[in-house]
Amino acid sequence: MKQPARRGMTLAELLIGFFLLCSASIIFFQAMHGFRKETTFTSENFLASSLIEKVLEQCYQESELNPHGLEAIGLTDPTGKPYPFKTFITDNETVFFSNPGITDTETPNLHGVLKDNFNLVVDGEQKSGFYEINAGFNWKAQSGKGQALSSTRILSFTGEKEVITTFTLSEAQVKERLVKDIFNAPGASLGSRVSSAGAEKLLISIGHVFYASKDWLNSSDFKDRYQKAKDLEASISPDSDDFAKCTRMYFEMARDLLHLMISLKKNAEDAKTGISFLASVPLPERFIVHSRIERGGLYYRQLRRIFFNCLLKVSARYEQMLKTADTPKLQRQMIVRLFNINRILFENRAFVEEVTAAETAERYKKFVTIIQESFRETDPSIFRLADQEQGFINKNNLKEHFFVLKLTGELCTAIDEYLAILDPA
Amino acid sequence: MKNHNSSHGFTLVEVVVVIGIMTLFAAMVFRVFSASGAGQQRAATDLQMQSKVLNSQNRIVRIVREGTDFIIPGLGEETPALFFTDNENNIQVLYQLKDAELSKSTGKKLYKLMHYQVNAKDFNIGSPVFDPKMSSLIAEYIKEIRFRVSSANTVNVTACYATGHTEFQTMFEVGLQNSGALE
Repeated sequence: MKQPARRGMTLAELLIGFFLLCSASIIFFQAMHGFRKETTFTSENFLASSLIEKVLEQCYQESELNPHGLEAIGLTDPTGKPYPFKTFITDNETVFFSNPGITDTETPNLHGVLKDNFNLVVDGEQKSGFYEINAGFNWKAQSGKGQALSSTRILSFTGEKEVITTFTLSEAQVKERLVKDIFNAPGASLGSRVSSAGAEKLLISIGHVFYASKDWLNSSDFKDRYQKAKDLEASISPDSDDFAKCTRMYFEMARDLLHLMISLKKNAEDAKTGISFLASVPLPERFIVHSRIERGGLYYRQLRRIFFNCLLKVSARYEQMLKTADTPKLQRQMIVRLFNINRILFENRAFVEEVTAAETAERYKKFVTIIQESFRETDPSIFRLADQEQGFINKNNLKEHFFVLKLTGELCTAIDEYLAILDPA
Repeated sequence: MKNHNSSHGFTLVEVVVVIGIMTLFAAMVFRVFSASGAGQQRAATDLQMQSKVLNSQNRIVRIVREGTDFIIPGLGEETPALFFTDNENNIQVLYQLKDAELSKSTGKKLYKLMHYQVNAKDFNIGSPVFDPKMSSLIAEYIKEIRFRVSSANTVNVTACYATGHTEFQTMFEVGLQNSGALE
C-alpha cells in the first residue's frame, strides 16, 4: 500500500501566505486610517461650526447695540456697503477672536488645531432693510479640503418711523376754525372769503401750525403730564420706580412733541412757499392772519423748546441711572439711550435754547470720551461704538449716518424759517 | 549505484531563513493590527467625545438663553462659574464639581458641569452654597471651563474636555435671549 507523501510547506507557499495576510492587514489598516481621518474631520467641522456661530452671534450683538455695528467691526465700508473679510484667527487681531484670543498658552489645544490653518471668511450682501451675512471657515483637513458655512440676517438701520400724533387737525377742522377765528363767520365757506386758491391754501397751512401748536400747549393732557413729571422729580433716587417713571414721562412727551412738530413741517414749508398770497387776503382780516402767523411761529418754537427741555431732562436722568446701574445690561441700555438722546442735542445744539451750543458740544464730547475710556478693556463693542461716534464727530458726518438727526435738523430749520416768513428781508 | 534518498529535512540555513521571514512578517502583521486597533479605539473615543461636547454645548446654550442679566463674572472678566438671573427672579448657576470617579479612571483632574437654580431671595451671592442633590448634570469630562462676559448680553465659553488619551477644546458664544428692547 502506497503511503501518502507527507511534507511541510515550501518557502514559496509560506511567503505567499504571509504576503496575503500582510496585504489584508494593510487594506484593513488603510480603511481604519481613513475612518480616523473622517473622525478628525468631523471634529474639525464641529469646531468650525461653533466658531462660525460665535462670529454670527457677535455680528448680531454688535448691530443690536450699534446701528452701524457692521461698519464698526470692519464688515462694511463707511457707506454701509459690505466687503469681504478674510483672516486667520489665531493672530489675536480679528475682532471676533480677540476677546478672548486663541493663544498657545490660554487655549493650547484649540490653538494647535486652528493655527495657520483655519481661515475665516465673512462677506455680506446689503438688501432692503437687512444684511445677509455669510460666515465660513476654510481649512486643510487631513481628508482633503475643509469648509463650513453659515449665514444670518442682520437688520440694518433705516431710522424711518411712522409719525403718529393725535394733535394734527383735518383740513375741514382747520377751515372751520379759520372762518370762525379770522373771518368771524362760523359755518361759512373759506373759499368764499378769499379770492384765490393760493390764499386759501396759505391760510390752511397757517391754520394747521397755529391751531395744532396752540391746542397742544393748552391741552389739559399735556399740562397734567408735565406737572406730574415735575412732581415726580422730587424722587431723586435713580433706582426708584418714580425716578424711572418721571424719566419715561419726559421721554414720551419729547417723542409726542417730535411727532407733532414733524406732522406740521409740511404746512410750515407750504406757508413759506405761498406767503406771497397773503396780500390777496382782504383787510382787516389780513392783520389777524399776520398775528396768527407770528403767534403760530412762537407756539411752534415753544413746542421745540419744550422738546429740547424734555431731552435735556431725559439725558441728565439717564446719566444718573447709568451711574447707579447695577447690571451690565442696564448699563448698556442707558449708554445706548444716552447716545441716542445726546446725539440729537449735540447735532441740534444751535436750536437748544436752555444751554449754549458750546456747552452742549463739550458735554457730548466728554461723554463719548468717558465711555471710550471706561469700556476700552471691558466691553469692546461699547468701546467701538464710542470710538466710531468720535470719528463721526471729528468728520462732522453724524447727520449722514443717523436719519433722526437729518429729520430733526431739517425740522428745526423749518421752524426758524417759519418764524421769519413775515420778515421783509 | 548511489542510493538516492528523496525525503530529507530542511537544512539549518532554510530553517533560519524561514524563521527570520516569519518573524519579520509576524512583527509587521502584529504592528498593523495593533495600530489598527489603537486607531479604532481612538476614533471611537473621538466620536464619543464629539457627541458629549455637542450635547453639553447645546445644553449650556439653552440654559444661558433663559437669562436676563449676568451677575458673575463681571463685564470683561473670566471665571470658572457663571451666575445669572432669569425673568422668574431666579439665580441660575453653572458650576464645576470634581468628578472623583472619572479623575481616578483617567488619571486627570476632571469635573462635572452642574446647573443650579434657586429663587434669588434664598441665595446669598456673597457666599454661595450649591446643593449637588438639587443640581442637574450638564456635562462630564470637563478638564477646564471658563466663562467670559464679553458684553452685557453675551458670554464666551471656552471649554476643554478630556478622556484618558484625548483632549478637545472648544469655544462658543451665547447671547441672552431676554436682551431687552433698545429705544
